[in-house]
Amino acid sequence: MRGSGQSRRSFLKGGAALGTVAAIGINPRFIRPAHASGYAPGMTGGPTGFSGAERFQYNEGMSEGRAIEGIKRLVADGSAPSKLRILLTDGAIGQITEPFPSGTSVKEVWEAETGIELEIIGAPAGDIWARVLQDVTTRSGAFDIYTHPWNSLGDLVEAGGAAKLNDFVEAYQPDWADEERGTPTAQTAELLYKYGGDYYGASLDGDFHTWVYNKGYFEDDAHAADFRAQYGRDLAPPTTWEESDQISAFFTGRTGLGGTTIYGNGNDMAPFWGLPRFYARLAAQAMPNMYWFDDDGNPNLGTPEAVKAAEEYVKSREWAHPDALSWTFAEGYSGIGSGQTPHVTTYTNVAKFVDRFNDDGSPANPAAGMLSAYAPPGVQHDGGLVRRSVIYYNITGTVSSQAQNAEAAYLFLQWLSSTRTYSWMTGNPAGYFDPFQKANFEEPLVQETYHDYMMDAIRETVSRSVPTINFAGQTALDAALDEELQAALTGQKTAEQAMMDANRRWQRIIRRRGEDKMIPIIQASRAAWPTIVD
Amino acid sequence: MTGLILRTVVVALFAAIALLPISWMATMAFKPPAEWTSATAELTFLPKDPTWSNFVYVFTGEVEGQIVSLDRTVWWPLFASLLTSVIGTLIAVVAGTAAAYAVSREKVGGSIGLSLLQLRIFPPLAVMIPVMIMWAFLGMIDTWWGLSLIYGIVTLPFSFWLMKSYFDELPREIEEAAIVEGCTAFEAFYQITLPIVVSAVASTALFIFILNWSDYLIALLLTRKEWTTIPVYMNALATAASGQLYGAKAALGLIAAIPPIILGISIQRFLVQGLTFGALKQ
Repeated sequence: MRGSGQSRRSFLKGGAALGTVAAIGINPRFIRPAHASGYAPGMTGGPTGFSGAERFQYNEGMSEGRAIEGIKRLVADGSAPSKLRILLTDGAIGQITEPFPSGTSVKEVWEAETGIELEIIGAPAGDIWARVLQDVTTRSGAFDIYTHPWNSLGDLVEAGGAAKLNDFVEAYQPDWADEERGTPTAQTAELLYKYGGDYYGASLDGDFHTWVYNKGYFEDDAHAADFRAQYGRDLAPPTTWEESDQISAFFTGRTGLGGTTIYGNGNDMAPFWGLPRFYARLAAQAMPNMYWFDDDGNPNLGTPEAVKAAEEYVKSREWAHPDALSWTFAEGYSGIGSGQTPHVTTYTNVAKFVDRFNDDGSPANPAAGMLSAYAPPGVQHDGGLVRRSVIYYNITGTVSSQAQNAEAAYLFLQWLSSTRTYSWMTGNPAGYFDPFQKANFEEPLVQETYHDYMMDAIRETVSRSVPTINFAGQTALDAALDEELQAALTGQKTAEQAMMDANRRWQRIIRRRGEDKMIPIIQASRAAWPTIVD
Repeated sequence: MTGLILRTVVVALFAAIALLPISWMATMAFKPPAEWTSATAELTFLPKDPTWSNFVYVFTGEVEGQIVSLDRTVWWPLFASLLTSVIGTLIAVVAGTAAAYAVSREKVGGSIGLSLLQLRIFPPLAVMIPVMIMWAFLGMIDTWWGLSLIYGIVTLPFSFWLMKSYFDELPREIEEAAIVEGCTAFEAFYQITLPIVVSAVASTALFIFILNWSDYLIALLLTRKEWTTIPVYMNALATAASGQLYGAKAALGLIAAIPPIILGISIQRFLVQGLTFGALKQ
């Protein structure tokens, strides 16, 4: 050291000074002045550096700002963690880590404003619930925040894996149900954020399954003329399942883009991913709804309406791609994108992933520029037309009951899921968090990536969407129904037999979990169903 | 002549069946996204528009045509797989060889051999749940030493029984002669016996390395992010826009085949001897 002109003592002293400078540099209290230079008047946080960034900025009076102020208080009293560990579906990571539209990312803004590092641990969408359960059952405490399907919320709460958020919600007032910017209805907020009357989750998705179709095919003169000749009506977006199936049957075997053979039913039918297609058919079979359970909590799967829905569902396989039983949502996207299928009901991000153009202006997929969307089909009853879709999967964030600091974890979730940050994030094409808040649909960046044609279709779908199962026992109930439907689809059982068996299995599951406990939960879940009739 | 033709046809048939999935993976590795599934185009065995992009994607995380960059590239999982597989193999081979020698020569340990076999009697998943709880309690989840240790433990029975069969075949008189010449018991083992069975050790090590290298279940349950291995990383190769990245997975499959092949070739000389060790002694 002496030889280099620096003593050990002076070297250490220099290191200490450097450390002090670094510590000051990463302290959020010292970051703000530099970072704040791009804020709109009155705003104290949010992204900067791109046109329109001010729409996502906030101050202490707003939901995101309250979350940031809460974190600062935790930092000041020394209780804030140095990092938050988040278990996140692989396909959503990009929306948090990749800059959008340019300059800065959601993760960078959070870390700059709070000094708290986000450690994101990815897992495939189909596996993430198993990873959550693994952490809960082994008590390993590897994550502060879980993300998982909304359907699993009840099972997670019952397993003691999720922290109750009532006190935090009361203290920090998120804008989730804000009348102007939040969920479409107060009922939706109850559905997405609460379980058993208590706050447990923060919705990070809008998985209201929406119908997308190839408008180019529907408006093609030859297709239109043939369809009119065959069915005596115009080839137009269907309003009933009967019309929808006719369209599927009509297109099957016809020639599409690039000479490809069209399969009329574009819906994926794989285990787990195909289940919502059946639920949507079933829900429309009665006025105003065909509930999954009757008033007394008995399963409705053995009813003639459920058998009819199952028979139609199994029949629709005739018009699907031969590989549809192994298709997940991603293959469903590819099917409509390649022009192999004329319509599909799926997650709304199909529009942003499929209907896009490359930087050089060439279409990213053969069907790019040809897609449009419509409200869900239904069943015509004497009293009107019942059109129904479902909410299914819907990534939801929960604070782990083993979180090192539950309040800090909650504050991040509030910041991320509030309407300004969420609108910014959901427009980003790098992941699959979908729009569902009123503010999202008004946001130009969301409209650009999801396309104008989706905005009304999503809104109409949301208002007609029924909840799939999300109460305790959901994993077992869905698995039982799924297995029976797969047996029917593969010809091992008739649709009727499958539904009778599924009904019996549901009865057994409810009985095992305790009817006294389950029936009130089942009855309460019916309150969230829409009653709109067209 | 007819018999020869028949044998050749049967061997060729079985070889074709065995090689079909590997060759499908090899051709898939060079296909662009549009050729991965039947949802985008008619599937063909050979790529219509061959590309290196799948390899570029897993190593750099970015490639033209994919709107989402990978959160993690393959470099660290590759290192994690190598490190934990090698250490796990060392643990199993060293402990297994020493235990096998003691049991074979000194008849110590009673039913230790059967006890070790218990590790493989239960379905791995049944054993892994309590292991997960123990590892979590000990803070060994998602650590290289935690994963290496469990690899060493679960492959120990293979190592023990393989080496024991080799030691059982080796005449005790060789060591006794060495001891008469003045060697200690350890020197007789280390300087005389071990060089004789080195080929057996090599084939055992290769076998165990392949078991560790190809493990999915244990790594899935005992790692989170930092020390996920190649098979777990491969399962996670999916993006929102493209779903499962079949091409990238196939490319990774080819890459993952390289270390066992290199190891196999480098110890090929010992392998042949090791695999025929017992037979020659008969």
